Amino acid sequence: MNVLVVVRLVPDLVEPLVVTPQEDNLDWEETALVLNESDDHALEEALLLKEKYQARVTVVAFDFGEIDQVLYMAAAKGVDRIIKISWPHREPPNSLEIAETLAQLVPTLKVELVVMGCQSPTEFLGMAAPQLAAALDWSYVGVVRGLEASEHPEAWKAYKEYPGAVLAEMEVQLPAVVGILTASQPPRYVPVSRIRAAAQQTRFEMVEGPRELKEPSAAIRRVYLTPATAHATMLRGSEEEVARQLVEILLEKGILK
Amino acid sequence: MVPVRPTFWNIPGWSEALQYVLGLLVMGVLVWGVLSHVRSWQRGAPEDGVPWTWKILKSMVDRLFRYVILPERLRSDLFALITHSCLLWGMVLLAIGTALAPIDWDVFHLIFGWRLLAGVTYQIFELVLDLAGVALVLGATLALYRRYVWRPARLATPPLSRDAWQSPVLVGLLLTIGITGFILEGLRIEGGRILGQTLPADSKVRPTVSGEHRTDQMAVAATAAARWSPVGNGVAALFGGISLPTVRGIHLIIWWLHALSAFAFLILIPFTKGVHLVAGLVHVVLPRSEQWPVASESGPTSSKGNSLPALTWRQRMEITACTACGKCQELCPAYVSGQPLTPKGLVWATQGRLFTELRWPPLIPRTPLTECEWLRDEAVWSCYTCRLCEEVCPLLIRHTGLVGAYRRAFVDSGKLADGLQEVFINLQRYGNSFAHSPRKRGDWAKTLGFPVKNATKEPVDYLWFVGDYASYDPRVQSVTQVAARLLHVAGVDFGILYDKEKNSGNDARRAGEEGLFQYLREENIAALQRARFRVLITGDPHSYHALRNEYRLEQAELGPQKGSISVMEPQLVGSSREKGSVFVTTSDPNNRVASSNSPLPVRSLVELFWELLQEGRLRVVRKLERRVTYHDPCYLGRYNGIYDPPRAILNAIGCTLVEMPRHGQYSFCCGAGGGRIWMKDRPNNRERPAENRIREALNLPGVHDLVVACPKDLVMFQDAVKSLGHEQKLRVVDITTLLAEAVLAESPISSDKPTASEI
Amino acid sequence: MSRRIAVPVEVYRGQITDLTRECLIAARLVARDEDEVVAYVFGEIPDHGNSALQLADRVVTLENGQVSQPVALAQAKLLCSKLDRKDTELVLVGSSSWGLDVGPLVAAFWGVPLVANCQGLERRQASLWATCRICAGKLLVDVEVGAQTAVVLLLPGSFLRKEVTPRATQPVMEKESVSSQEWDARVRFQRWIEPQREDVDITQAEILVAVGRGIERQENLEVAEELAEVLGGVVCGSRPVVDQGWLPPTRQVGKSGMIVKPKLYLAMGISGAPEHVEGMKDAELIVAINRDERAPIFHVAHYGIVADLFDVIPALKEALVARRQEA
Repeated sequence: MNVLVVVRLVPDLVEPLVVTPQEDNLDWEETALVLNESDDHALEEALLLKEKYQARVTVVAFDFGEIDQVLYMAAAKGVDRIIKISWPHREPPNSLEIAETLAQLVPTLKVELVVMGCQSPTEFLGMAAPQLAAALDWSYVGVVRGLEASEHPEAWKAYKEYPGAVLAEMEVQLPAVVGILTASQPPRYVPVSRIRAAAQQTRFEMVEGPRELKEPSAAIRRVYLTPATAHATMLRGSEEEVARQLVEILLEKGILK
Repeated sequence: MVPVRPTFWNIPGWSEALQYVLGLLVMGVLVWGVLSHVRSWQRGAPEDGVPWTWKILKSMVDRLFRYVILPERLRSDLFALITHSCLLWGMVLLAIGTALAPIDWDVFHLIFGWRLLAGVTYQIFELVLDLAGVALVLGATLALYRRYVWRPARLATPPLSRDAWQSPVLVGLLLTIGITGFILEGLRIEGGRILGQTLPADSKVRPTVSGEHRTDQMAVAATAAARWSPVGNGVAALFGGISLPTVRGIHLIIWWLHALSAFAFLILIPFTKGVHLVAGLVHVVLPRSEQWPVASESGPTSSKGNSLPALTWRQRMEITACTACGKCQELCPAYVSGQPLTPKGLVWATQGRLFTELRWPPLIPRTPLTECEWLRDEAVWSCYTCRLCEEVCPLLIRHTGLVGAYRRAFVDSGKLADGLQEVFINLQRYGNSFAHSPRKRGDWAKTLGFPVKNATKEPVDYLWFVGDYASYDPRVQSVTQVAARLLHVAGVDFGILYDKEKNSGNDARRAGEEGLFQYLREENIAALQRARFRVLITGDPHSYHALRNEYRLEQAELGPQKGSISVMEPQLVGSSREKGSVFVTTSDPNNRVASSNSPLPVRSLVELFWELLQEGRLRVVRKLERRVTYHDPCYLGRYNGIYDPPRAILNAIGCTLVEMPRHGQYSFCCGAGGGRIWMKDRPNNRERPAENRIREALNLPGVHDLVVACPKDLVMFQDAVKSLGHEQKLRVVDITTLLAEAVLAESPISSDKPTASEI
Repeated sequence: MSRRIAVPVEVYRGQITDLTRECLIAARLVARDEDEVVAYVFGEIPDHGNSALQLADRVVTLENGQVSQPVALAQAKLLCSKLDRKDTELVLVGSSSWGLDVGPLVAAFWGVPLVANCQGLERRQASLWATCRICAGKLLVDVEVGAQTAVVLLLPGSFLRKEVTPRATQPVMEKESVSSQEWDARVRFQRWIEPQREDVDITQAEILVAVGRGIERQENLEVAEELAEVLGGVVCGSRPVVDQGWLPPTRQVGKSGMIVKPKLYLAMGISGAPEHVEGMKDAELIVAINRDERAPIFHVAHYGIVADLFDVIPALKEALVARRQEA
C-alpha cells in the first residue's frame, strides 16, 4: 500500500491579508503562509494508515515559501519519502496547476492512494483534489473524515461527512484520490527538537515543475478585502422590535427555515 | 580496678566470632547496596557543575549545618525537628559508641594492651551513650506515635506502598535496638553486681586469666561506674533477685536480638528510605547548580522495560534520598485543590522505579502498582511549577525538575495535556500563545500619546521585554500602558522589540517542550543582539526568570553595552518572510566565546519602579491610605527572591500592607504557572488555586485590594473573583496601577475597578 | 441563443435541500427569457419539499438502479453524459458535502472552469460575473466567467432570500432511464452512520444558544433551553456557568472548552472575554445580547442588542413561534 500526501501552503488567516494596489491578487510578498489545515489532517490520516496497515507514505509539495519547514515536520512525524516540485513562480500554484502537475507526477510514483485536503481557503477557480482525480481518472470521494481498510483488498472505506454529524460509509475502489476534511484523530504533535533533528537529516527528492503557466480558466477582475465591520450592527427598539428584526436576519441568512 | 567497658561480657567465643562474620557480611551488603545506587547515579546525564574552589568547601560546611546538623527546614515543625534530631543524634552517637567498642577492644586493648574506654572516659562514654539511647528510644516512639496515633495527612500512605512497611520496620528496629541496648546494659550491671559478690575484689585486671573470667572481672569493675549509665542502672534494678545463670541466659538472647536488629537496620539502609542517610547527606551537602535540570531535550531513559524519564545524575541522587515525609504535599496548590498530583507520591514512586531499575535480587520488594498511580499523566500535568514543594523539602529535592523530566518524555511521545498542542504550535508559528499576529505585539503602545522606541532601530537605556500576556491580553494591556506611562514620566529612556519579541519560552520549558524553549530563546537572543541597550527590564516574572537565569545572555555576548556598541546592524523590520524559522539556528551560544563583560543586568519592573521612587524620579503626590494585601508571584518570589521591592513600593504610596497567612516564600500559587494557564482545567477540581487564594484574601479584615505583580496573576485572580462573585468585595489590581494612582494622581484605567460586567 | 442552466438536485434525508432551492433561485435570476433552467433529479422526486422544483422550466429525473445513492462520482459522470456541454451555459451546484464532490468532477470531466465559493452571481452584458468569498470570508474575488460553459459552486445563504417572479407554467417533467453500464461503480455507498446522541456535541450543532454570567441562576437556564428548543439549537455556556455546575463541561465554549463554528451563535449575558471569544469567533453569525453596551462581545458579534436577556428571550421566542405558524 503506497499513499501519497499532498501538502500545500495557504495564507495564514491570523495575519492581516494584503492585496496588491492593482487589486488583482494577494500581495504574496506580504502574505504569511501556513500549512493548509485539511492537508495537515490528510497527513495525519496517512500516518494512521502507515501505523495501522503498514502503508508507505510519500509526501509531495510545491517548493514555494517556507515549505521546507512543513516537510521537516512531516519527516519528523515519520513519512517515508519526500518529494519537492520546483516552483519558481511569484505566487503559489493554484488548484488547477496543482491538479495538472500532480496528474503528470502521480503515475510515475507507484502509489494507489492520494490523500489531500478536500479544500483550501484560497480556492475559487478549481478544486485540486477532485480535479486531480478526474485528470487521473481515479475514484474520488471528498469531505472525508477517516479511512479504513475494507473487506475488498482493492478498496478502502471512506467516511464522508454530511450535515448533522452524519457519516456516509463509502467503499472506494483503488486507485483513488480522497479529499480529507478531518483525520480520524487530530494531527499529532511533534516536538521542536525532533523537527530540528529532521532538518539535519532529511533529504528531499526534487522534481521539475512546469516552467510556463497557463492563463487562469476565468478572468479575475478584482481581488479585495471583505469590507470590515468593526462593531456589531446594533438592533434597537423595544424587545418586540429587536426580536422581529432578529428573526428577519435569521431568515435572511438562511438559518431559520 | 578501674572501670573499663566490659566488652563481650557473657558472650561465648562462638557468638563473638559469629557476630564478626555476620557483621562483615552486613557491611558487605551495605556497601554493595550503596554502590549500586552510586552506579545508578552515574547512569544519569551530566548536570551543570559547580566549580571546585575553597569557597565551595566552606559552603559545604555551611550546608552541613543548615540542612543536617540544625535542619532549618524542620524548624517550622517542632515535632519533626525533635523526632528527627533524637533519631539522628541518638543513632549517630550510638553508632560511634558501637564502633568505638570494637576499636577499643580489638585495637587498643589487644594490640597495645591499653584501653581508651576506661576510667573517666568510660564514665563519660557510658553517660553519653545512655543519653543517646534515650534519644533514640524517644525519637522512635515519637515517630511511631505521630505516624500511627496522630496520623497527619501528609504521612498517609496506601497500604501497599513501599512506605507502608518501610517506616514501621525501620523505626521499629531502631526502637528495638534502643530498648534491647538498655536491657543488655541493665543485665550486665546486674550480672556484674552478682559476680561482684562471688569474685574476690581485685585492684587489677589480670590479662592472663581466661577471657570468660576476665570479662567477668571487667563487668564487676564496671558496676562501679553504673551510676554513669542511669537508664541501664535503672533497668538493672528490674532484674534484682534473678539468679546469675538466668541473667546470663537472658543476656545472651537479648544480646543477639540487639545485634540482629542492628544488622537488620544496617542491611535495610540501601534498600529502603534508610538510604537517605547516605544519599540525602551527600546530596544536601554537595553544592549544585541552580539551573533547571535537563537530562535530555526529549527521549526517555535508555533502560529497557522501565518508564523512567531521562534524569541527570543529581536528580537520580536526590530522588534516591526521598523519605516520603510529605512536607511537599501539605502545601502543594495542585494537591490542595484536589488534583491528582501529590509531589510526595511523584518523587516516591519515581524512587521506586529507580530502585526497580537497579535489578536487586528478587528478595527485595518491588514497586507496588499503587505507587504507579502517582505517576499518571494527569498527575504530572497538574503541577504549576510554583516551587513551594522545593522550598520546604528538607532534602532539597527538585520536584519541579522531575515534573519537567516526565513532561519532556510525554511531549516527546506526543502525549500532551489538553490545550497544549495548539499553544505550542502558536508559539512556533507566531511567537505568542494567543495566535495573534506578531505585528500586533506592540499595538498597546499606539494609544499612549507618546512614541515607544523600537530598540532594534535606535539605542535605548532600558530594553523592556514585555511578554505575551502584557502585550496581548486586553485585561493586562491597560497595566502595560500604565507602566509605560510611568517610565515615560520618570524620564526613563526605554524601548521595546515590537514584533521581534517572542514568548520567552519559560512556560513552554516548564511544560516539557524543551526544543521550543531553545528555539524561542535563540529567536529572542537574536532580537536582543540587534538591539542597543544597557539594561534589560521586564514586568513579567516568567520572562524575568528565563531571561535572568536561563538565557545565558553572557554567553550570547550580551553584556551591558556602553555607548553605541551593537552586535549587529539594525535591520528593517516588517517583512513577513522574516518570520523565524524553527529550523535555522540563529545563534548557538555554546559556540560563542563567553564575553568578558560582567553579566547583562536583568531587572524586574518592580525593582526599577522602587529605584525610581527612591531616586525621586517618580514622586508620590497622593497617598493611597488603603489596606491592601500582596500576592508574591512564584517566579518573582520563590524563584528569584524578590520580596521586598513591591512591599517597599506599597509602603511608599501610603498603603497599609496586611499579609495573607501564606506570603513571601510560602506564597500560594495562582494556578497559572508551568504552562497550566494553557491547559484545560479538569472539572472535578475541588476549587482552583486562584479561588483558594481569593478566599484567603477575603478573610483579611478591611482589605479590598489584592495587589499582584504578574500579568498572569491579574488574569487568574480577576477570573477567580468573578467566578466566586466577589467583584464588589475585592479588587485585583496590579501594583503598577496602584503606583500610577499615587504618582500620576489619576485613576488611569477604569477597567480594573470592581465591575459588575458579565462574563 | 437559448442555453441551458443545469441544477443537479441534492436530496438528503428524503428532502430536496435548501441549498438546491438557492441554486434554482440563482439560476432563475441569471437566466434570460430564452434560457432554460433544468433541474436534474437522481431517482424519484421526493414527496416533501419539492416545491423548489417549481422554479425550473424542466425537471429531468434520472431513474433506475442505484441512481439515487449519494455517490457523487457516478452522478457527475451520469450528468456529463446526459447533458450536452455545448448547450449548457452553467451548472449550478451548492457547496454541500455532496456538491463539493459533484461540481468539481463535472467541471473536470468536461474540462470547463469551476468557480468555487461563489456568493454572488450576476449577468453583466453577455457574460456571467461571480463573486467568490475566500480566506474564511476575509477576501472577495470578482470573476468574469465569460460566455463559456462553467460550473459554479454556490455558498449557502447567498440567494435564499432573493425574490424571484413565480413561473406562470408548470415545469415540464421528463424521465430518463439509466442503464447499469452508465453507473460508475468504483465508489459504492454502503450505509449512513448516525451520530451517537448520548451527549450533545456542541461542536456539531448548527445553532448554539450560549449563556454567560448574565444568566445569574441555574433556574434561569430554562429560559435559554426553551429558546434553544424553538430555534432547533443547543445550549452551551461560558466558563463561569460551567464552573458553577449549571452546565456539563462538554457544553463549555472557549479556550478551555470547545471550539465551535456554528451557523448561529447567540451570546446571551456573555461579556466576551478573550478566552471565550477564541472558542466562538468563527461562528458564521454571532448575535450578542448584553446589558453592558461596552462589552467586548459586541466587537465580535455581527449583531448586537443592548438589553436584559430576560426581556429579549421571551420576545424572541414569541416572534419565532409566530413565524413558524405563518410558515
